[in-house]
Amino acid sequence: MSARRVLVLLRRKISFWVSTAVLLSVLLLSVVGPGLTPYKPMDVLPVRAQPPSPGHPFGVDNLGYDVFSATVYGLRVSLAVGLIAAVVATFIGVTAGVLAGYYGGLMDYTMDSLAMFLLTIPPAFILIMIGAFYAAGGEGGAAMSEFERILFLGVAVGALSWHWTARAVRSQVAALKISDYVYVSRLSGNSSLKIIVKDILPNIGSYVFLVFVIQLANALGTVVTLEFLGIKASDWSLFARVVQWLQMGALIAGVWWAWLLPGVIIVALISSLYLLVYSLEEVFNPRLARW
Amino acid sequence: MSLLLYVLKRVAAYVIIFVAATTFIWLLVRFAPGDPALASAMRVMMAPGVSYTKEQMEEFRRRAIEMLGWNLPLHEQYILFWSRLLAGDLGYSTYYSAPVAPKIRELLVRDILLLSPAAVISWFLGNWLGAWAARYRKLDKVLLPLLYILTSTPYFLLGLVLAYTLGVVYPVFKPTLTSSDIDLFLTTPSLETFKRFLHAYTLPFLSLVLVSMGGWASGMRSLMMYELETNYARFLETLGFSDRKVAGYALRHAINPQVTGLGIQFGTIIVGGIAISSIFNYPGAGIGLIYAINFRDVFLLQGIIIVYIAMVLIACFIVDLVYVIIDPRVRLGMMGG
Amino acid sequence: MNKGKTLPLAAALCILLVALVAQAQPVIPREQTLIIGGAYWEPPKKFNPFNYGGSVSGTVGLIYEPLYLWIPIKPENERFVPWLAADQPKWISPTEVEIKLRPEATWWDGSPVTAEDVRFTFHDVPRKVPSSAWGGVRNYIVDVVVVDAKTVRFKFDPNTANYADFLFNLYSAPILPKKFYEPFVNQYGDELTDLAKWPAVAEGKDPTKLLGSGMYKVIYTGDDNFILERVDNWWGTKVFGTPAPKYIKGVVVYSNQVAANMLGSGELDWSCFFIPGGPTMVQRGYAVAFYGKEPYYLSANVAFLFVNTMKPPFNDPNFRKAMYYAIDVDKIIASAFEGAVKKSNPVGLLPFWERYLAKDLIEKYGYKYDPNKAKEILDKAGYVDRDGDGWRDMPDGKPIRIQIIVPYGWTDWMFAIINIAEDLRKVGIYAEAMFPDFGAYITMIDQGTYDAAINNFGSFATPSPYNLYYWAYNASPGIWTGNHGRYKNTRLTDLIQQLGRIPPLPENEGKIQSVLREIQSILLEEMPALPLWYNGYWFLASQKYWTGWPSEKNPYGVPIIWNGQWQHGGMLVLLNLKPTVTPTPPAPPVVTPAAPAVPTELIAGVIIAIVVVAVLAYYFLAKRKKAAPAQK
Repeated sequence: MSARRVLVLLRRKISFWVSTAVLLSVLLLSVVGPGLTPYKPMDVLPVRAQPPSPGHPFGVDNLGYDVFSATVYGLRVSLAVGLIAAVVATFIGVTAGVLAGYYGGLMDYTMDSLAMFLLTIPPAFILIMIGAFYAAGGEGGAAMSEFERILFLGVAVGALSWHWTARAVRSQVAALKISDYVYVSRLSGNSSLKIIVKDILPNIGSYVFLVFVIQLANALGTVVTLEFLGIKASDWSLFARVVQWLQMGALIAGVWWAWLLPGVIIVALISSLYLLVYSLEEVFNPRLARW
Repeated sequence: MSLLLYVLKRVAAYVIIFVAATTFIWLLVRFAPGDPALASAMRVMMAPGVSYTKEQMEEFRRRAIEMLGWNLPLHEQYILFWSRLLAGDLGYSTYYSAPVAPKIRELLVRDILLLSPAAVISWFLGNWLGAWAARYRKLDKVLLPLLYILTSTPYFLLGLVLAYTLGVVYPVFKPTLTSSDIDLFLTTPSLETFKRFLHAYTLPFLSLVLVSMGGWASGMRSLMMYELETNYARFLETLGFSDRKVAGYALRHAINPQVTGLGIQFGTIIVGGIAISSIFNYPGAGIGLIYAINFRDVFLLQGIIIVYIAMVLIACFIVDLVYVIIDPRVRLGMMGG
Repeated sequence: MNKGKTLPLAAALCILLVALVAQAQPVIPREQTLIIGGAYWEPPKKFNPFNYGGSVSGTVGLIYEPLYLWIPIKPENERFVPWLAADQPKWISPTEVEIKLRPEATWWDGSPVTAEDVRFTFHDVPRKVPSSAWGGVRNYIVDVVVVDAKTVRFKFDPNTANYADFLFNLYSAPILPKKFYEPFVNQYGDELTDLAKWPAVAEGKDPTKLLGSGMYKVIYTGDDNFILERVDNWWGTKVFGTPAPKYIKGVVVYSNQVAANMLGSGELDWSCFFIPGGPTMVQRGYAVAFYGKEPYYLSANVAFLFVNTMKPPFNDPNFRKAMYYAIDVDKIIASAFEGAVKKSNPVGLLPFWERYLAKDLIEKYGYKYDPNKAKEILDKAGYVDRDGDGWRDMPDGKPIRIQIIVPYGWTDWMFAIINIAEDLRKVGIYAEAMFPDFGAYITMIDQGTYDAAINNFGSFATPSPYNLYYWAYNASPGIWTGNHGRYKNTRLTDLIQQLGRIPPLPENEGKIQSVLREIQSILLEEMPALPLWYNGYWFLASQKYWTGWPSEKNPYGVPIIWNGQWQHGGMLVLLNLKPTVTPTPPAPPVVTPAAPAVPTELIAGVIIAIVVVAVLAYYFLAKRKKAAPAQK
C-alpha cells in the first residue's frame, strides 16, 4: 500500500489524530519537560502538600517533592526502557522473520521453535527472575549505573518479546517470496540480499511500523508490572514513583495530585498507543476499511 | 496423520519447551551475582532489638548453603535439581519455613479461587461488549477507546484507589481480602458467608475485571473480523486482486491463534493476580512472588515460576487436544500440514 | 472461535486439575478480637523462646513471661515493674542479688512457677544452649541459688559481671518451665536455636502444645496470620486483672499502604507499622497516636549515620565533625518524617536517659546545623579542592567520593539520605545516596565495604546506656552485632566496659554519671558516628473496637508490639483496653476442622456447573453471531 494512500485514509480518522496528538504531547513532555522546571525530582522543597499552582503545575507532595519534575524525569526513564525494548524486539523480530520467511528450512524451524518457546512462557516470569537477581541491585557492591540499568532492562524486555513480530513478518515474507514481483526480481539475477532489501523490506515497511507501536505498548505494560514488583531501571522511574507515592501515604494525606496526575499521564501514554494501533490497523488492513 | 501421532508430537514439543524454560531459569538462579544463600538466611533473621553473634551468623550461612546444595559441582547440582523435581520436591522455602511444593499448591488453589470468577466474568463481559461493538459502529467508536483507557490503567493504581475510596473513606467494602473470606463461603455456604464474601471480594474483582475487559473485548472484535475477513478475502479474490494483497490476509491465519491467545490470556491474568494479591493482601502466588523476591527465597521463586510455566503448558496442550477432537476443521488444518 | 473458547475451558480445567483443600480457620467474633500488626513480616510459624528474636513477636510477653517489665516512660524509680517477680531485686552485695517470685505465679497446667524454673532459665539453659538469646549470661552468672521455692539468688563473678546485660535480661529473658524443657535441652542442646529445625520446642513441634505462663496461648497459625486465645486460668488475674480481648489476631501485611487501609477501616486495631501519612490519619480521626500532635510518636531508638572509620577521610575526626555541622536534621524530620520524630542530641542519648546528659559539655561544643562552620573545619583540616573539579579532595590530592546507603524500600530513610547527600554536596563534599536492596545493604555493612550508612538495629532504650554504646562502638563488627563504624578507641572501649561493670546500686549513681560524662566528652571530641534523630515507636490505633490506649494524658506504658518490646508496656495495654462496643453474648467459636472430602466434591460440582453453563452460553452466542452476518 502506497504511502500516499495511507496518509489519505489516515487523515479522515479522528481516532488517529487524537491518539497521535496525545502520544506526541506525552513524548514532548518527557523531552522538554525537564527543561521547563527548575526543580530536580530529588529536590526537597520547603513547602509540603501543595495543590497544583502556577509555580508547581502538578503541585508538591506531602514530602516536599515537586510532582511535575518527578513526573517528567521519571517519564524519560520509563519511556527509555520501553523504547529500547520496542526497538530491540522489532529489530530481532523483523530480522528473524525475514530470514525465516525467505530462506525457510532450518532457519524457519529454529525461529519457529524459539518463538513457540517465548509464546508459551509469559515473559513476565523470566523477567522477574532476571530482575530479582540481576537488576534489582546486585549484592555486595553498588549496582550498575542508571544508564546501564535502563539499557539492560530494555534489552531484556525486548529480547523476550520479539516472537509475535517474527512470526507475523515471516508469514508476510513467505507470501511475498512466492509473488510474481519477487520472481521477476530473482530472474533478473539479483542476489538474495538485494531482493530482501529492495523488494521485501519496503513492502512490509508499514506493517513493521504498526508492529513497533504494538511492541511499545506491550513493553510499557510489562515495565509497569515489573516496576510494581520492585524491578526498575532507576529509582526515579515514573511507574515506580507512582507506586512509591501511593505507598508513602499520598492517598491518606489527601494529596491526590501526587498520584492522579502522573497516573493520568501513564494511562494517556499507553492508551494512546493502543488507540494508534487500532486506527492504523484499520488503515493497513483494507479488509477493515468498511469500518 | 493419526490423532495419536499428533498428540505425541505435541507432547514432545511441550516437554522440550518445559525442559528448556526450566533449565534457563535454573541457570539464571545459579549465575546470579551475589550470595542468595546468605541473603535468604539473613532476611529471615532480622528483628529489631535483637542481635546475633558472629558464630551464629556463620552457622546460618553454612546451613543455607547446605540446603541449597551449592557446595556441589555444577553438573551434579543440575542432576540433583531434576531428580528432585521429578520426585515432586521443589525444595524448602526459607520464607514460609515449609517445603515449597505443598505450599505452591495452596497458593495455586487460592489464586484460582481469586482469579477464575474474575476471568470468566470479564471474558463474558468482554465478549458481549466486543460483539456489540462489532455490530454497532457508533458504539464501537466510543466504547473501544474507553476500554483501551481502562486496560492501560495499571492494576495496582486502580486497585489502591478503589481500596482506599471504597474501603476506607466510604467503607462500603473491605479493603483487604483474606483467604478465609473465600474459604468460608465455599465450605459453609450461607447468606451470611456470601455477604461476607461479597464484602471482601468485590473490590479486587472490580480491579481485575475492569482492567482486563478491554483485552477480551478487542479480542472479540478481532474474532468478528475473522468471520468478515474470510468472506472479504474471497470477495477480493473474485475481484482479481493480486496475490500480494491476498497474502497479506493470509498472514493472520499463519499465526497459531490458539496458542497465542491462551498464552497472552494466562500471562495477563496471572500478572494481574500478582498486583491484586499484593494490594489486597491476599495470600496468593502473587504476593508469594513478591515475598520470594524480597527475601531472596531461591526455592520459592524458582518453584512458583516453574509451576506456573508448567500450568500454562499443560493448559495449552489440553486446549490443543480438545480443539483437535471437537473441531474437524482444526483437525485437518493442524494435522494435514 | 479460538480465543473466545480457550479461556473458560482453560480456567475450568485448571480448577479441576487442582484438588481443593479449603483451609479452615477458627471463626472468632470481631468484637472480642484484638487485631495487631506491624511486627510480622513472614508466616508466623516460629514460637521458639530460645531464639525469640527470630520467632513471632509475643512469644516473650504473651506466651512466656519475664521477671520484670521495664517501662522507659515512667519516672526512673518506677521503671522496673515486677511481673513474675514479686518485688524489686534486692542487692545483698555487688555480686549477689536476691529475687522473690510471686506466690500466685503458675504455669498453665496449674503447677507453680518456682525458683527451679528460674535457675533452669538463667543457669542451665545458657550453658547447654549457648547460642540462646540470653546465653551470654553464662559468662558472669556463676550460680543461681535456689533459696526456697519462690526465692533465688544470682551470684556474679566480680571480674566479668556485666550488670547492664543482667538488667536487660531481667525483662527480656523468658522464664521457662524446667519440667517441660529440660528433656529437650538435655537431648538437643544448642540445636534448639535453629528455627528451621525447631519452629516450636514442643511435642510435634506444634506451637499449640507449648506450656507457658502468659496471658495468651496459640490456637492457630496460618500463612498470613495467627490467633492467640486468652488463658482463662492465667495466674495474673489475681494480681493484675483480666485482659479484655479474648482473642488476639496478628496479621502479616505486605505493604504499609495496605496496613493504613486496614487501620482506617477498622480492620486493624493496633498498628506498629511505619505509616507515612500517619499524622494525617490522626488529624482526620481515623486513628489515635500516643501524642495528639507533634511528634505523635514516642522515641524508640537512635538512627545513627555510621561512617566507615577504616576508610579515609572518615578516620579523621575533623571530617566527621564537619559532616555533623553540615547536615540539616530538622529538614529531614520535617520532610521525610512529616515532623513525627525528634532530633537527637550529639551523643545519642535517648530522652529516657536525660539525667545522664552532660548538658554543659554539649553546650560547650555547640554542635548544630551550620554549613559555614563545616566549610571552615574542612578548609582548616586540609580538605580543599585541589584538582579544580569543584569538589573537595583529600590532603594528598585523592578525590573524595562518598556513597551513603540505606535499604531500598525504607522510604523514610531513603528520603533522609537524599537530603543528607545534598547537604554534604552544599559544603563541597561529593556524596551520593544509594539504595541497594536489603541483602546488599547488610552485606556491605557486615563486611565493612560501605562508606556511610544509616542504622539503628541495636540502639533501643535499655536501663543503661551501656547497651546502646556497646552496640555502637564496642561490639565485634558485624551487621547483627554492631560497631558498624569499626571505630577503635581503647579509652572509649574501656569506659563503656566499665559502665557495664558498675552495679546498679544507688551509691554507684555518681560513678555511673562520671563514666558517662567521660564517654560523652570523647564522643563530642571525636564524633565517631553521627546520631541524627530518634526513630519512633510507630504506634497507631483504631478506636473502632477497643479503647484505653496509652497516651500523653495516660502514659502507663509504651504501646509497642515489636519483638522483645512487649515488656515496655505492650502487655499492660492488654490489661487496660476496654471494648468500645458492648459485646453481645458471645456465640461459642465455630472451629471447622479441615475436611478435604466434602469441600472438594462440592466445589468441583459447582465449578463444573459454571463451566458447563459457560460453554453452552458461548455456543449459543456464537451461533447467533454466525447467523447475524449471514443475514446481512
